This record gives sequence, structure tokens and C-alpha cells, in this order.
Amino acid sequence: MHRLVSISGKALAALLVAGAAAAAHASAGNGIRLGGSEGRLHPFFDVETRYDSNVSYTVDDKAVADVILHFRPGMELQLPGDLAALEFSGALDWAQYLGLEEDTSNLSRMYGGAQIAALFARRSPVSLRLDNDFQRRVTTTSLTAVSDPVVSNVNTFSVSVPWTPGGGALVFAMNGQWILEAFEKYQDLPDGAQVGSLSDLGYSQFRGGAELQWRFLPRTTALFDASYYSRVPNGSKVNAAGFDGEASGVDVTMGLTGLLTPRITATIKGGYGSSSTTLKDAASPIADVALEWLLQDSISFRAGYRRFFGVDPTISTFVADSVSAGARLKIADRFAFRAGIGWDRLDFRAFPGAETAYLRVDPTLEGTIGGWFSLGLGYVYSARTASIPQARVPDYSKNEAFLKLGLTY
Amino acid sequence: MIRVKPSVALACLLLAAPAGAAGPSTGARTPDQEKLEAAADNIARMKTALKTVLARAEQARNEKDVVKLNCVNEKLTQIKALLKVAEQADIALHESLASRQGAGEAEFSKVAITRTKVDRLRREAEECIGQLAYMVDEKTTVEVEQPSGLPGREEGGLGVANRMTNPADLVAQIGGGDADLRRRHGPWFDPPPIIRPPAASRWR
Repeated sequence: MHRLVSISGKALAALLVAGAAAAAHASAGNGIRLGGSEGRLHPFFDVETRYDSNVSYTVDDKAVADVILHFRPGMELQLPGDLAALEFSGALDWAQYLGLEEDTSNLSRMYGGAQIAALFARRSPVSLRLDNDFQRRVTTTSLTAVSDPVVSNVNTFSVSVPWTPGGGALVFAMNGQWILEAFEKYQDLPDGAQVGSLSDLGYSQFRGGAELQWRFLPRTTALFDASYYSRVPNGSKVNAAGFDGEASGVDVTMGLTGLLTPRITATIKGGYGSSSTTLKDAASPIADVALEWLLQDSISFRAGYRRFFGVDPTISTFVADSVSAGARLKIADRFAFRAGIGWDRLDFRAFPGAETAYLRVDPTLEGTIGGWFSLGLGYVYSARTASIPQARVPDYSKNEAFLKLGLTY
Repeated sequence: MIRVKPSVALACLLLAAPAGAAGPSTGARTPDQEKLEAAADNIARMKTALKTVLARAEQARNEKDVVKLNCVNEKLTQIKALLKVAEQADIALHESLASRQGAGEAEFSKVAITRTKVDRLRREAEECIGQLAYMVDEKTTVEVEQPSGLPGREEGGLGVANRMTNPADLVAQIGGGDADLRRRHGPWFDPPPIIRPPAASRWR
């Protein structure tokens, strides 16, 4: 263990020295110019040290604390243009668990994420936008009714065709989306605690819809969107809860967004959603309300409430009520302090009384120096309370503190 | 009885004689045909000036600028009146020369003076539009150079590669409740302008 820490420390020091040396020759994050184009490639490398009081996501008296080192090499690509514009951002993320209290080396693995977006014919009345987002991460919200976190590999492909017949005041868009998600085991559990076959919980979800934005006043826009989705499981088994993973539903919302005053914005959207599964059909009003206040040029606040439908691969449809608030403060013109709090309550409609609540508080100080050096220092408190009849879903809470340093060429 | 000193009377005669002789002598020496041609040329130029000012009035009307339009219309009215005077003087000049009743000096001078006044009015009409120096046949346009650092939609950005954006610059960005839609289509509205004072030092 000590040998591993020593190697990690030396590697970290070497990387920092190498990064600093490279940065000394870099021209302040200008990136690598691609040929004669306007395109820029920005390689980057992040190192993060994170203390986690509960890496096992178990009840507090059985929590295992650890320090995790994250090494994230990646790159960003920007190719601007009116005919075609392309952006990419991707990074690998090696998480090295140091094993302070117990042997957690089996939790060390590679994570990562990549996003790419392409926009064609930006200036023409009809344009085309393609997005693809891949994330590999630890999550407790993907299988929220399961007692254990899992590693989620989720890929989201989106296509949007906005049509602006009136110079931009009116936007009509057709949207499509394909979500492909698969799960892997995060940690070994005692016999009987492990959820069934994770591979059977993977799914594909297809969504198609339309949205309308009409800026009928200079600072006010009317919104309307409607979509239909269908979820198809990878496996064909019916799980212990009697859910086979198939679901479909409709969302329709409309509302307004705009400036109430030059420094206060508000968004109010309301509508109706429904979901149909083999276990139970459900319908409910849905909403999205947000308020943002720019108190001064260096201080802003926001608060919001959302109510939406979701599908858990294990126990079917839930309706989520999500409340969030936050503040952002600019410090010394280079750094931003932001603090957010969010509370989500998931109500599973197929099982009366089944619900899960998440709480998250995350103050963070972050900023960049010279365009090539980035810094993040923060704390996260997160907790889950669950009440699932006839199921063992432990509550957990965890405290995390992290320091993130990044170099960008 | 007013007595005039002989020296003063002599001085007046000496000064008055050349001044009085300048107009008639010039006109008298100008051949009749050249007078007619010069008058016709002056009137043609005045009509050209009228067309120019009419165009300026139309330009001001298209720009929906009432101040400019009133200013140009005022000049236009005067030019029309002067053109009428010049045309009548031209007719009188033709009659005078045809009847051999005189050299038509008064009418010829009237046309010349009228053209001078029309030229001045045309210049004033250009000043009304504000294009005296350039004489560009385009609408008045205003180019606003947006200072860097203002919040707003990034025309070139797709919202994916954000690493070069300092989080401190995002503090003042408000507007748009749905982050995913904002990423795809930009903010719902132009964010409020934030006016920041210039830095006290470039080494801040």
C-alpha cells in the first residue's frame, strides 16, 4: 500500500513538474492550431485529490473512508464555422483508491467521458445539430431503488433540426434522442445483497419530439415542447419486482421565460406527463420553474423547482420533485465561488409508499489563471434516504473534499 | 445743407466706378448665345441638385428619421422655388435677346445667382443627412463593437468545449431555465448588458 502511495506521489510530482515546464513554453492556452483553419486543439491534464468519507455508499456506521486520486488526460477541440462547426471534449479518468482504512484497490478503475457536437448551416433558416455524449461514472441515481451504487455507461445521441423562418424570433425544432445505458458492478457485495444480473437492466430509450420558441417581446419568449419516448430493455427477463423494463410515455409542456427586470429572469413551464409500463400506468402534472437574480455584476442567485417523470430499470416509473438553489460570487476577477443545494424526491408510482430522497450541498471555489492553469477546491455533502417496502435500501451520507489542479495547452 | 468735401467725393467716384463697371461689363461682353447656353447649363445643374435632394428626402423617409426629413424638406422647398425663379428668368432672357430690347443682363444674373443659392442649399441638405464629407449613397448605419467580457450567446460556441471559459466569467450570466435547451439553441433572450469599469491596471 505504501509502495503504491509512493509511486502515485512520484507520478503526481513528475506530472506537475512536466506540466509546469510545458506551460512555461506554452502561449497561455492558445492551443494547437489545426492547419490554416480557425480550429484549435487544447490538450489538458487534470489531477484531483479527493477525500471521501464513504466510498462504499453504506450506512454511516459501516462507512469506509478513502482518498482517491484522479488523473484525467483529455483534450478539447473547437472547429468554428458557419457552414459546419464542430466541438469535442473528452477525457479519460483513472481513479486510484489509496486504501486508507481498508483495501479498496478493487475500486480503482478507469472512468471517462466524451462529448461531441456538430452544427451545420448555422446561418440558414434550417440547420442541423448532432450531439453525442458518453459518460462512464459511478452512480446511485441510475438504479435508485437498488441498494448499491453501480458503474453506468451511458451514451446519449441527440439530433435537432431547428427551423427559424422569421429571422430567429420564431424557432421550430424537431428533436430526436437515443439513450443507451448499461451497468457494471461497482463493488463486491455479500451474498444475497447483489442485485440480479446488471446486464439485464441495460436499456435503449428513444425519444422524439418537437419544440417551439417564440420571442414575442424583446425579452420574453414563449415555449412549447412535446415529446414521446419508448424504452426497450436489453434483457427480456421480468425482475423480482415484476417489471420487464419496457416503458413509454408522453411529455407536453408550455410556458414563458424572460426578464422581469434587467437583473431578474424567470422561467415558468407547466404541462402534463404520462408513463405506461407493465406494472402501472401513471400520469401527473409536470413543471419547470426557475428564478435567477443578478444582484450585482459579481453576485448572482438562482432557485428552481422541477417536476418530471423518470423510469428506474428496477421498479418502474417515478415522479421526481426537484428543488434547487444556488449562489455564485466572483472573487478577485479570476475566481468564482459557487454554492448549491439540491433536494430530489422520487416517488415510485407502482409501489405505494416507495420513495427515495437525495440531498446535495456543494460549495466550490474555482477559477483559472492565465488561461492555462485551473484550480478547483470544494466540498460536497450528499445523502440518500430511501423507503422501499420489502426491499433493503440503506440510507447513506458522505462528505467529500477535493482539490483539483488542471493544465491546459 | 450737407457739404461734401471734394476729396471724399473723388474717393467715392474712384471706388464706385470699378464696382459698378464689373457686372455690366462682364455681362455685356458675354455673347448672347453663350448667355443662353450658360443659363441652360445652370438650370440643368439646378435640376440635378433638385434630384439629389429629392433622393436625400427619400433616404430620410426610408430611415424613418423625422428630424432629417424635416431638414431636407425645408431645403427642398427653397430649391423648388428658386428653380421656378430661374426658369422664369431664363424665359425672360430668351425674350429679351429675341426682341433685341436689351442684353438681358438682369435675367442672366438672376439665373446665375439662383444657381449659387441652389448649390448652397444642396450642400445644406447633405449636411442634414450627415454625409457631406463622404457622399455615400447608403443608409446611415451604426456599428456597435461589443466589449469583451459581456455575457451573451457565443456565436461560435456549441457549449461542449468550455474549458477555456473562466468560471468567474459565468457569474454574471443569467437567463434560461433549461440548461440543455440553452446549450442547443442559446439563451432564451439577450442577457442584460453588464457594464464593467476599465481595469485600474493591466497588471491587476
